[in-house]
Formats: sequence, C-alpha cells, structure tokens
Amino acid sequence: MKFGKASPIFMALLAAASLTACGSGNGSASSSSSTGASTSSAASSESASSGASEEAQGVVYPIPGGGKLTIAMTEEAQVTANAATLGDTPFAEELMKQTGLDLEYKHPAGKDGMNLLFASGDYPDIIACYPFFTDYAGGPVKAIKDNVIVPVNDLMEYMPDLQAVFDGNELYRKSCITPAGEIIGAPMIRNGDELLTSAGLIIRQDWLDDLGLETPETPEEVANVLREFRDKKGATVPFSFTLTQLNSFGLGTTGGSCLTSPFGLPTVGFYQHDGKVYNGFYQAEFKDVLAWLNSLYSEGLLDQNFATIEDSVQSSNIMNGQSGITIGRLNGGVGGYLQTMSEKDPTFNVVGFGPLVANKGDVPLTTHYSNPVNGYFNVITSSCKDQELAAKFLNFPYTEQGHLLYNFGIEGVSYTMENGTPTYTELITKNPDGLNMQYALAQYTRSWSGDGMLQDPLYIIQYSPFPQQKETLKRWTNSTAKEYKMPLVSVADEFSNEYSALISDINTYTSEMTLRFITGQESLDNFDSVYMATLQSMNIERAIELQQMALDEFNAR
Amino acid sequence: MSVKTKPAKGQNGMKEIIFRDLKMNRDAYLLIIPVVLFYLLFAYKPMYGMIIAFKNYSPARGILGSEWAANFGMEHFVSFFGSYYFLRILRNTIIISLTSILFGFPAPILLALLLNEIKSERFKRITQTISYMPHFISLVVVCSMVNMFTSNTGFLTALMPFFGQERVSLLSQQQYFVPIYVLSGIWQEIGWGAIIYLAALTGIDQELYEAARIDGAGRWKQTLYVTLPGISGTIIIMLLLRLGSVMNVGFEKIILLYNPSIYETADVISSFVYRKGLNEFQWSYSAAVGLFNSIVNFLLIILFNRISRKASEVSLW
Repeated sequence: MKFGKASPIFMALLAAASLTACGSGNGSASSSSSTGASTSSAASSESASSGASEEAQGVVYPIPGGGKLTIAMTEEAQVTANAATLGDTPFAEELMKQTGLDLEYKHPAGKDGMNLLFASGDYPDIIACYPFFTDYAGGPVKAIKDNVIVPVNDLMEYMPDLQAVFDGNELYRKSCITPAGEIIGAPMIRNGDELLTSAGLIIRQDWLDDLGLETPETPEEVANVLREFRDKKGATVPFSFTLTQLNSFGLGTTGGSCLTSPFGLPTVGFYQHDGKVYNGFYQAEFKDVLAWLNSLYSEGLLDQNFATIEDSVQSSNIMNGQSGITIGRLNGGVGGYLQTMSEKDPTFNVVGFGPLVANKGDVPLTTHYSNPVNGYFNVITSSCKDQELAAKFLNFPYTEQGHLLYNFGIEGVSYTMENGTPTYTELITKNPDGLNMQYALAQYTRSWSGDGMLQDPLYIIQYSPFPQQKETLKRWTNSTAKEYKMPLVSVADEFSNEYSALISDINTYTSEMTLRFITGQESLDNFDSVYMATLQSMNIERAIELQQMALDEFNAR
Repeated sequence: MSVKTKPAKGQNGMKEIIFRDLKMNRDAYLLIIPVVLFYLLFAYKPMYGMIIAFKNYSPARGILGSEWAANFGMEHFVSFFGSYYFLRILRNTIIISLTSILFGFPAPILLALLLNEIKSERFKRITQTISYMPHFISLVVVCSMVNMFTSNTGFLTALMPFFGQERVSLLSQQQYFVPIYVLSGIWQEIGWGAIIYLAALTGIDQELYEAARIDGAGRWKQTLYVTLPGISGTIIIMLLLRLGSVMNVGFEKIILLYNPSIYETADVISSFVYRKGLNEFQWSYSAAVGLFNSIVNFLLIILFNRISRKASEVSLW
C-alpha cells in the first residue's frame, strides 16, 4: 500500500513526542504512587495505582508540576484557516495557562487522515473530538478491544467534575459506557434541547416572496415550488444536495431526517419505538420515499450530479441562484449563506423549512436530531504514559472555570458577564478582521466543535445572529423525533465481529440501491422482489436483533 | 562490464571460490548492493507482514501481539469467499483489467508506429511531447477533470446525443464506467507507453527497409514485414509483464471516480480492500483479500510465461 512509506517517519515523530511528554509529566505520578494502598478499585491498571486521598476531592488547576500532552484531532477548517494548529489560537494559549500544561496539537486531514493515524498503531496521548460511535468501525467497544482507547474507569478519581456530571444525569452516564461497563472517555454533551437539531431543508425565501408562494410543507408542494423556481427563476438545479447531506440529514442514516416523515418513516437507519428496534432501510415505507425522490430526479428537479458533487459545488449552487432548495446546517448553511451573500446581494434571503409532512399542519414524525451525548469523545490512548495527567486534563472542561473557557472563551476578550449571563463581545459577533462568526468563535472557544465538554445552550442562542436562523431552529425542532431516536447503544463484544460483518455488507448494499432507485437505474418494481429479498438474505433481521439486544442492555444499565 | 571467471581447481573449497569471486568482481557486487537492499526492504520484508492475514490484527497490539484468527487462521479467507460481494468484485476486476489490456495495450504500439512514419522531425517531436503530457498530471486532477467532463453539463456528456443517448451524468450510469475508465487511461498513458516502442524501433536495421524497398514493398508492407517483427520481442515482454498484473487494478483511480450507484460495475478488489482496511479497520480481512489477489497474479504470470515460451520462445525467464 502506498501510504505505508510515509508512516515510519510519522511514527517516529509521534514516538519522540510521547516520550518527551512522559519525561516531563512523570513527577506527579511517581510521587503519589507510594500512597496508593488506600484505593479499592478492583481491576486497577498499571499506571493508575496511585490514589492520594486529597486529590480525590478535586483537581487543582493549574496542575502543580505541569506536564506535556500530545493531542490529535481531525483538522477543522474553522481553526486552521487562521492558525497553524489549535495550539496556536488564543483559546489554547489561555487553556495552557489555566491548566498549567504544555499542549501539542496534531491535525490529521479528514476521515482518511484519522484512519491512517489509527492504522499506524502509534498514537498521541489523547485523541479528541472523534466520533467513535459512527466513524470508528465497530464503535468504542472495538476501539477498546483494538487497544486504541484506554477506558477511564480507574482514572475517575482524577475526573471528579466529569463524575459529578455522570452522577447528575442518568442518561449521560449510560451513554458513556460500553456493555462491559467501561467508561469510554470524556464526552461531548449537548446540554440543552436547542442544541440537538442543527440540519434540515433550506429554501430561497426571497424567491418564495417574489413568486408569492407559501412555504411548502408537503412533498407535492415542494415539487410545485421547485417547478416554479425552475420555470420562473431560472434555477438549473432546483434542488441540490451532496450525497452526504442526503444520507445524513435528508434520509437520516445517522439520526432523524427531514424528508421521510410524510411517508411514515422516521429515518432510514436504526430507530426504536416503544423499546422495539427497526431499520428504516428494511421498511415498506422506504419505497414511497424513494418513489418521490425518483420522480423529482426524473423530472430534472433534483440535482442530476448529486452522487458526485462536493460541498463547494452545492453551496455555490444555492448562492449563485442555480438552486432554490438545499439541505444544510443551521450555522454553516443558513447562517453561512446569509453572511457570505450579505454584501454581494442584499436581496438574497434563505431560511430553513420542514421537516416535510403528509398533510399541511401535521407535526412531523422526525427531524435531524442528535442524542445529547452524540458519540464524540476525547479519549486517552494506549500510547499515553502519564494517564493520570491526561485524565486531569480531560476533566478540565467540566469544571466551572473550564466550562466558561470552552463555551465562551476569555473573559473581557471574547465574552463579558452581563447580569450573570456570559455574552459574546463584538470580537466574536462582528469580528474586526471580518471573520464570520464561526471562524471567530474557533479562535477563542470550542463551543462550536465536538470537543469533550458540556455545550451550553447560551452558545447557540447567541450564535445564530440572523433572525432567519432563529426561525429556522423553531421550524426544524418541531417534531416527535425524540420518540424514535435510538440511544447511543453498543453491540456487546461477543457479537461485535458478527455484527460488523453483517452491517458492512448491508451498508454497502443499501447505499448503492438507494442511489440506483433514486436515479432510476433500478426500477422500483424490484423493491420487494429484489431489494427487500436481498436484505433479508443478507440477514438484516439478525442485525436488527443484535441492535435490539443492545437497546435492551442499554435500558437496563 | 564483463564478468570475469576463472576455472576453480577441484581442491579449492566452496568458500575460497566465493571469496575469490567476490574479490575479482568487486565492482559488480558493489553495484548490485542497492538493488538487493531495495528488494529485501520493500519486497521481502513486507512479506512478514502478510501474517496479519491470519490474525485478528490491531496496530496498537502489533503483529506478534495480535491473536490468531479462528478456523486455524483462515477465518478471513473463508469470510471473503463467502462474502456477498466476492463474485462481483472478482468479475469487475477481471473485466476492467482485460478491457484495459485489450484496448490500452495496443494503443501505444499504434501511436509509436504512426510517429515512426512521420517525416517532419519537428512535428514528430511536438506530437510526442503533447501525447505524453497527461502522464505527468496528478491522478487526482485527472479524475476531477473526468468528473467535470462527464457531469450532466460536461462536454463529453454533450456529445452523447449524437450517439442517440440521453444527457445524464455519465458517472452515475453503471454502463459507462468501464469505457470512461479505459479511455481516460489510454489518454493518460498512450504517449508515455509509446516511448519504449519508439526506442525499439530505432534498433531495427535500416538495411532491412532498403532490402524490402528493393523487393518492392510499400510502406504498409514494410510495417507489416519489417517493423512489427522487429519490435515483436519488446511487445511480447511488455505483454507478459502486463498480464502478470491482470488482477491489479489500482484503487486510486477507482475510488476517485466511483460512487455507490455504480459499485455494480466499478467496485474492484483493491477498492474493496481499501474500504475494508482503512475505512472499516478490518486490517486482517483486507490483508487476506490482498494476499489472495497476489497469489492469483503470481500463478497467472507463471502460466503466461510458460505459454509464451512454448509458443514464441520469448519469455521472462
């Protein structure tokens, strides 16, 4: 394989970095190990044998003696547009000051970059902001089995504030452990209902106004509006989205969806209702969703290239008047388009709408909806030599001091306290260097990211400066998605090989067939006779059964 | 450099013969050291890593630290042969590869023959330079160009109505994947591939052409009876080398061009290995698939070499 040649250098660098990290951080670990006799943890790992009782009460920041940690996280364009690494931002400078630690960040590029990091076998001390539940095949259970993640059960005494979060919320606690009871790491927690929905349908409101049309609610109305846009507004690609947007938000492989409600389907992935697990790909209703999308595609209303285009093409489609409807995010989408176009074209106006319903006025079954613990974790890796120090660092965002820094940045610089409410300053909301709000936030906070912390609802309320965003959020959150949402379950270790073998083939098949049905390469007449029959022969029912067992186990935690 | 030899006397031990040989041909041995090192490091040492095909490998545990797979280590092979997609990716690999050979292999030979007939040196050189330019464009760029040209508004798609076809995004239509793959491959490599044949052409004795002309052969007959036989040795060697990698369809170009809607014709063994190994972290499984691929390649080259030796007395060994 071609990648192999570069990795020895990379490994050597990583190894050197982690060695130096341990050299400087070892002081506190060895000094406290002499008092380790008082701990009663049953399965203590070699490095967690310490347990000085005064430390268990609370961790002091800055951490006495300091130390160095290496952290890897996927490159975030919002950060690296204006700083070489996260470590070079004002946020990290303040973080290092407040924790007393020397932090070194590495940013592998995208999912492929992280995959290569995992395949290298040599890791930094901490892997941060990584969606282990969705992106690490086999989930955290497999990552622990692969010896990538070190569970933090024995380190909880150094994470008293995270422990307090777990003690205060049963759902949060249950979502952070594996079936075997291992605590995965420090979770990203969306601590408020406003934070759970962030994607959906977006429409050119100014076009609607010009044409005197109402906001569409049903699939038929959407088709009509698209035809109007095509005929009267010259939209060559009336409805544009990328494959990822269709899958993640439109159909909902990773959660709720904005397109499937009218057809009686909550989402295409796994969902549950009253404790029973279903898979949307294996439901008869899915055929109606496909039939509708296929009719849009064959009429030319839907982007003919959606299977191959990138985000950049899709966003330029909507901003250049090629498209009138798209699928996107609240901030990156609605907010981003409005901000980018505010100078170029003052009449440009977009707002979110949907989720679609069968009859006008219905409450949608579902919407894009994430679990409060959404699967992003900061974890300690097996390469970390000073796990106690790493644990103390991961605990920091859950302290009051850390909570403010992570959500709002530096007091007096990026926020001020007004009547006890942290409020972003103009440095963030109207950046003097012309940064848009997300990029400005990225220099001073982590609230917009997937970092292990409690995300504060005050962040999103202030983050959506345009009234269109507030309206969007109101529309998108109106649904019964909570009743269908699958919690963050894990298939137990003994079934994980069986499950990943099953689901890997099933995923390939469903993604392939979804596209073929929409583009009309496969006739919908074959939905039952070929598609459903093949899914059955691929043993999808066993996969559903394994998810059912996982859900039962989760509910019993 | 000529390699010197000296008849060894019967009494001398093997050791001494080797030692003397090393001493006498020191320069030759020095020259070959880098080559030997290259093969040891990049061809033989990685073979050790093939062990992971029989284990449940995890990078953090290392090759020795990972446990053996079930079924006496054959678990991953069994599950690959039983996989729903086994036949499809095998079929696609062979179809794409054979089509590439069928159309892609003769193309540079034809170009070389055509260039050879050009009288104007200047025009010949310009043509040749232009023809091998695409070889130096990064594959990522080539593929994004192909992506644009074949979108529903691309210029290649605009030609489709002349063939009585609809204007649709070509890379979403499974029947077009193989032609797009093969034709773009020819465009990319035709000039570069012609170089070796042009070199072979210069080696043909000009007197043969003179003799042929005296015998009344026109240009076509000269090509047929002098030029082609003159480079047939090169052609056969190149063909043998190419056939030895029938099962090797590189994953880079495939993953840059395909999308799930055309997996039916586009998914090949190497792209499957890539998805399994690097996206799904099933390192051992993908190693097993890769090992299977290499063994088939190995058997094929032995077979073709034997056939060639029997039929034309030209062979690799």
